[in-house]
Formats: sequence, C-alpha cells, structure tokens
Amino acid sequence: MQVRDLINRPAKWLDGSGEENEIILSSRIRIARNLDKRRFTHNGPADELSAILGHTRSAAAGTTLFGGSEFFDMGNVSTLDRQFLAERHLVSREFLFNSSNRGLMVNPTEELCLMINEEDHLRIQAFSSGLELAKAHDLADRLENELSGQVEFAYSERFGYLTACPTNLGTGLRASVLIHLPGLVHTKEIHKLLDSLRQLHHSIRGLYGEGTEVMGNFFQLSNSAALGTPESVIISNLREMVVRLMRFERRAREMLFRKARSLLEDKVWRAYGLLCYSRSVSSKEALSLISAVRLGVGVGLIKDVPMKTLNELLVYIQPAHLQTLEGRSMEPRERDEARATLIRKNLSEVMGDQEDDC
Amino acid sequence: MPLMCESCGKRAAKIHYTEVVNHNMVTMDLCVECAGEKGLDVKSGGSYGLGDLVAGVWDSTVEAQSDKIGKVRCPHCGYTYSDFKKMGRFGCSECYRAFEAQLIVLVRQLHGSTQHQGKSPRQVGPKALIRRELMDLKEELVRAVEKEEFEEAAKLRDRIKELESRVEES
Repeated sequence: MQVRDLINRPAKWLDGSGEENEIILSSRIRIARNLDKRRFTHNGPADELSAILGHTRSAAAGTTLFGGSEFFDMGNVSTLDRQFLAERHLVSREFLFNSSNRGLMVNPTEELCLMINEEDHLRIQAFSSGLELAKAHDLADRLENELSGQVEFAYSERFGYLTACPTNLGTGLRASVLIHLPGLVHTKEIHKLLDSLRQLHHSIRGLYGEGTEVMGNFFQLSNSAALGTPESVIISNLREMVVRLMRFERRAREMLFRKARSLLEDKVWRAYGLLCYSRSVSSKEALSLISAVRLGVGVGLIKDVPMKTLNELLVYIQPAHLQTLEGRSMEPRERDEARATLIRKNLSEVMGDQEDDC
Repeated sequence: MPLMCESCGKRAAKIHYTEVVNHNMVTMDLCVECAGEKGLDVKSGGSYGLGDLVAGVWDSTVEAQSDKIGKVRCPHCGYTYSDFKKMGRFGCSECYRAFEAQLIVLVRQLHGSTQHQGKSPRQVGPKALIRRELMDLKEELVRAVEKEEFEEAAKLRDRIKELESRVEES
C-alpha cells in the first residue's frame, strides 16, 4: 500500500460518532518511550537509528493491535506524502524535516499509530472521536504493554520514563482534545479562560499542535506536566477541565442564540452560502467558514449537514490532501479552486441525500 | 483576580512569556522577580528558549560550583550540560543519571514534582514476566520439597538460579 491510498478511507476518529461531538472533535493520547541506554534520536548515529527502526518495527508488527497494519519507511516517502500524513495527524512536523531511519506504523482505522525515531524513539498515538480520552488511552496503553514485553524502555525510579526533552519525563503522556469554541471566541471570553487554563497547568495550541496557529476557533487543550501524577489522574484532570470549558461554551452559544439570534443566523448562513457557491477559497478562509457552519449545526440552525462531513473536510481541504486527490502538484491558486470544488461537491452530496430522504 | 505568577504564586504575573523551542510552545506567566531569577532579561524584552530558562534555574542553583558542573560529562554519550542547553534535549537516557542531582530543580520547575508516579516497566516490562515466572517456580519448589520430589526440586532450583541471574543483569 502507498501513502496516497489512505486518501480513500477517512480516519475513523473524524466520523463524528463520539461523545460531545458538537464541541469536541477528537481525543488524542500520545505516549513517549525510548530504548534503554541508547542515544536519543537527534543524537544517534545512522547505524544505531537504523537498528532501532528495524528492531522496534518488527516488535510492533508482532503485536496483536497492529494486525493488518501498514508500515511506511519515511526514507522512501516523498515530501508531499509526508505532508499528507502530517495533515492526518499521523506524523509530527519533525518527520517533515527528517525522514531517513524514521518509520510509521498505522492501523487500518487510523485510531492507533506508532512513530519510530521521532524526537523519542517511540511515540504511540491513539485517536478517538469526541470526548473519549479513556478509550484512546486504553488503546495506547495496551500497545505500550505489548511493546514493553519485547523492548527494554529507558526508565528511572525517580524520573519515570526518560525522554529526550525533560518536558515529557515521567509518564511520557500527553492527553489532548481538539475542541471547537466559536461561542467563547465570539463573546470574547476565550482569552480569560485560556489564561486560567495555563495557570492550571494545561497547554493550548492550534489545530495542528505544537507551535501552530489557532484557526477556525479550533483549540488543542492538553496536560503540560507529565511527571508526578499517574496517567489516570492526568486524564481525569484534563477531562474535568474540558467538561467545564464545554459548559462555558454552551452558555456562550445560548447567549448568542438568545441575544443576537439574527446576527448569529446571518453569520452561519452566509458561511454556508459561501461554502456552497464559492469558486475559490483559501484554506484559512475555508476553516473559518466551516467553523461557522459547525456552530450552526451545533445550535440546530442547520440540520442537513452531518458533523462527519465537516470534520472530514477539515482534513481534506489541506494542501497535500487536495494534491493527492487531484494526483498532481498544484500552485496555491489552483488549490484554492480545487478546495472550493471539493467543498461544493461534499455539501451537495449531503444535500442530495437529504432530498432523497424527503 | 489578577493572574498570579506561576512560579511563586504570590505576586501578580507581569511577564507573559511564550517561546517555541524545537516545536514545543512554552508559555509561562511570571512576576518580574521570578522572571529575573530565571534569567529572563525582563527589560530587553528579547525572546528566550526553554534552554535559557532552564539554564537560569540551573545556574542560580549551582553557581558556586558552576566550573565543575560545566565539565561533567555523561559517561555513556559524552553530553555536557551546555550541549543540553544548546539543544533543549539530552543525549541519551543515561544523561539523567549523570546529571540527576542537578536536574531536580529543573524537573520541579517543569512538572511541579520530582517523583514519578504511575506506570512502570516493573509491572509490564520483559523482566516483569520473568519475576512472575520466578514467583510461580518458587511455589512449585516448595511443593516439590514437601512431596519429597527431589529430582524435580533440583531442576526447579537450577531454573530459578538461571532466571535470577537474568533479572540481575541490566
């Protein structure tokens, strides 16, 4: 299988089936591990990295959880394909810049993957639709158990699992949710809340994680401390924080609906109209329009667009996805046109379904 | 309520510090005093990386012996503290052993704790399986001796010895 073949099956975590899906897009768990007494990836000579790749790849292939999975050797994957994998959140930006002796194993539903020789030797990731952190953690943790039967991980009694960067020490766990907060952005309460969250040792990032811009009112909320607190508590603390944020977001949406209904309706339907009829749209504009339509669906103004369609569009309108769909490389202007066409097609399909139903 | 300093928790945070280091965004809200203590140049408003922030903590802690510290090398990979400061990452897992005493301050700053809690390889690692097998074998040995099955007991004893030596090897 080639990387580009993944285009035909959107990741399962985008299907909108999870708990609290109208506000929480997805839950993600990342577990970092390193092999004992080896140099970390950034400091490792090529032969050592190659040995680690070979060893951990076969260990991973032998686990029950990776049955029927694909392995991609990043050294043989083009820059466009690596960008494509990053847009699907399967690899980090680190893999865009470094590819030799790097590998990715991914299961058929894209709910579980393993990056080999990222910043840490092993980075397990599990994804789930909606607010389902425990479910994602269970999956990642089971893979960690299976791998630890075959690989000796670097560990100290005091510092826990040892990682290249001391920010990930301890559990090596980063739990995060992708949360959509248009209500709080419109009522301008968001900054105050984000400040408090940072005080409570949580980090906020943009749609594509570390170092990325916040777009379309999508935020990634995650734990910032990984040492000193057991995994289950890290996860329940994050969940509690998310539940509170959701309560504020719902309150903001109700307020907008009550006090500024015509403005809200105009914003939502105007965005919907642009998505249905525009002939060229940048990815930044598209994200913000999709965000408004998502809000419209969330508050019940728009009834015939499933969350699944909107979630999948968030990924498929990205540059590498558009170019993979078209099967050729495209200039930004061409991509804007292809993006508008894709959105129109996907929205008219769901409208079509609706008419058939009537 | 004003935003309080993340470090001392007593004074209002005046310095809102964000930096992207090796794709990691680090955000801290600090009071002027604590920012100064961490080696942030408050006046110039320049940007600093995690390495600098951490280095500030490190330097103020071990200032007196900084000459010696600078020369400490990880016996496994040869990394020094200044390498860490430059890269924001350690060279290998053994670096944590080599620099353990000095690292305590940094780890507390980053995580608010210095003692790991949670999963450990003892519960799940390859050696955990051996330990479990050892426990089973020892029970079998007791039973074999009780039943005076000495030939079986001798076999079990040899197997236990072998496994114990494997557990002790690192």
